[in-house]
Amino acid sequence: MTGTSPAVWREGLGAMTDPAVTAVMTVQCGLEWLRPASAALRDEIDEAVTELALNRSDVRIDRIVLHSLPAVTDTSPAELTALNSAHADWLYRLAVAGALLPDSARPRVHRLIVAGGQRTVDAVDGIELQVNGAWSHPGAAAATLGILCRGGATTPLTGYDIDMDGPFGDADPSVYL
Amino acid sequence: MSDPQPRSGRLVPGWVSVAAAWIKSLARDRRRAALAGCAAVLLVAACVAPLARQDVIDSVQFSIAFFATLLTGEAVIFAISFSPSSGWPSLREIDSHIAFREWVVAGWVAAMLTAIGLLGGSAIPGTYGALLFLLADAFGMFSFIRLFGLASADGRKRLLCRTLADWLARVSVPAAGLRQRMSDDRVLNAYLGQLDEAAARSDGNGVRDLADELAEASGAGGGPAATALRMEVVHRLARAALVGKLDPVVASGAAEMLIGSLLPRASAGPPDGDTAQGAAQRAAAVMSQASRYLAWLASTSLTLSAREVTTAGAARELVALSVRVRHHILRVADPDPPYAAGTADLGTPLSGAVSVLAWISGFTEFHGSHQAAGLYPVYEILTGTKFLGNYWDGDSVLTGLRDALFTSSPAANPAADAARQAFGTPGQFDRIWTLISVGAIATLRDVRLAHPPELIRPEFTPDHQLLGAYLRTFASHRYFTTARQAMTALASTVGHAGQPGDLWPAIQATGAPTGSSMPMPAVEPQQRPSACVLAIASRLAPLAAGEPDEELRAFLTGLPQPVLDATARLATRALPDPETEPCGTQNPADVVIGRLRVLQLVGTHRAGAA
Repeated sequence: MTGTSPAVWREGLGAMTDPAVTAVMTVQCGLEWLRPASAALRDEIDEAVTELALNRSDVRIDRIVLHSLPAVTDTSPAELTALNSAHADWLYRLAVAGALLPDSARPRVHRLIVAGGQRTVDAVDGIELQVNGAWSHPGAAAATLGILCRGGATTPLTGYDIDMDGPFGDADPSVYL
Repeated sequence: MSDPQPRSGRLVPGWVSVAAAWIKSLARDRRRAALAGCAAVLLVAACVAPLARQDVIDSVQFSIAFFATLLTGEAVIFAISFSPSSGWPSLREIDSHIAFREWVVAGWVAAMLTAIGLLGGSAIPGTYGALLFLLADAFGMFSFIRLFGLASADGRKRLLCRTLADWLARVSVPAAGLRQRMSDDRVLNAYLGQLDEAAARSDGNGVRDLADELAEASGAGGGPAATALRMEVVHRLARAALVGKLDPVVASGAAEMLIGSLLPRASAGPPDGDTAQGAAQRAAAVMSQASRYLAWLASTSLTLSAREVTTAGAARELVALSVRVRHHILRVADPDPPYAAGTADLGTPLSGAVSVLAWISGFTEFHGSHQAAGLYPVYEILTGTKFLGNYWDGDSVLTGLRDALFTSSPAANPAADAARQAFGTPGQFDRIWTLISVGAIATLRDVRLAHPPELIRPEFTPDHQLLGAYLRTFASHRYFTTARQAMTALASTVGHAGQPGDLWPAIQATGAPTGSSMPMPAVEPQQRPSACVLAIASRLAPLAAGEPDEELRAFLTGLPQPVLDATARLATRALPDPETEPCGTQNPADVVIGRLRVLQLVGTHRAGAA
């Protein structure tokens, strides 16, 4: 299932809870995901994926998101700033939510590397489910797996640089003096 | 090679552009317009009836003598009234007040015209010069009287108030870039520089005068810049008292006056052209920022006192200031405070979920005093009814609030309807309060610091029961019961971004509006992962001795080790060591569970009485 239509995604999220599902792949590389209109659906997907990870540690979950924004020339500087801010916030939340989950349940989030000057990415947004070992849409799944298998195409999102203790000023407020 | 094209600015001599600017200013400066009008009338008079040479000489002799007398008088007043190094008031402000430049230039033009007329034997320039001298003398007298007004402290204060008010109003619009404009502003920098100088000299009277000027200047308006500047001044005074030489009594007195002068504005009705909602949100911003800052100040004073960076006396004054003013703010927020001096004390500037939640979010950070009591006005504003329980006995205001808004028989009145609409769903209600509790828990004071007896104040004590009561106001809000549900709530707390129009972004934007001046940055809850975990864990922790803790233990042991370790570090810092914790306990889950037993201290007096 491809596209960014809420109906398509909700159908996929509903099917994801089927006990026969053994793997899930999501691709969310369109800039639309970073706009306010898509924020609710984005949260819905993130929460559904987390719920699946908590309930079914035997399901392999791979997610592909952008590492950085492609060279966008048809947006205003203010809009580009907003997109970058939404992108940074989303990746941080994905990283910290993953870091709080047990290792066995943590979804694998891959950041698709965008070359400098590249205006589009070759990944097609969508959600693919593997039911009893067989992908529901083998063609789309093969394309996504191809990206994951291609060396240097993605880099994993980790929580290694998240400060679990929070800002230093929480423990010692006098630093703000 | 041809010369570069000359820039247009070079084609016009400097004096021409100055003259052009002066002429342009006539439209908005009545004083200059009057001067120009009189000069024009005198020119006509000189042309119509030119004087004889000797008459011109006689007239100018007297005029020059008087001109020189005025000049000498002004020089004397300047010498005894103003410091040449003072930037506040600066020479520019004094000049614009007394019209010194206009006066001197008028005299200079008169002298030149008189000389030209006499040397050239021309009657009209000579006559016009003599007449202009008379005008310069009249203007000089006006200037002298204005300057004499400034020689007194009250006169200077009036000028500075007016100058400050003008500049505050000027930099307040638009809201975007306010901080930058304020930091670049010449007049505001001069004011702050003078304040720092007075504080460094420990000049109590100077500090008080400057604080008075700011309070009076922004009393009539000033917009967000006035609020930001007051908080900046309060911070500079507190810093000077903590790590400088300023008398802490002077610093706390001036800070209390400045914050106190903000609160009547917060509780005033909406000004013309403003909505009640806008006024409530502005009031919430002021009250939230002041509450949060004061809580931080008390916590910092304790820390610096414990480290012997600051004296116990200075820390004591600032802690007392914090507790006193936060209590005042609580009374302002409470629609029906326990002690009302009159009808003016009744009612609240806060209305609607956004403003009241923005206020309580700031009020509960940095272990602020009276924070548990702060939930009572929240309940009353959001439900339209009073909460009749007692948090000290273990009653949960938040559970009562949730029940009042979302049970099968919810409160039915306009306030409750509006609150229900603002929250939308019980899930959103739960999430918002969890986010607020993250900020409160993350910034609890370090219990390992010795709390000196002289810093103990009501609601600012090392009492574990009080700390337990503060934590329990959030921990007793229980919307899940199992470890599995707790994990889902935790993931939602950190992962849910929401939309720009959602309630949480609105709360944050109201509590910390653009241009707000706070030394402590606003921190998003997801940037405090260990506090998020502790906020969720506290909602599973046993509230009474003997209650099972299996779910809490299952939740904690299910977390990755680095997360659990960070949570244990936070619990060790913020929560007291339980007497039952065996020495050398290393298991972080046990540490967190043990520290959360502080919740069970609340209401023990009731159990004992029973």
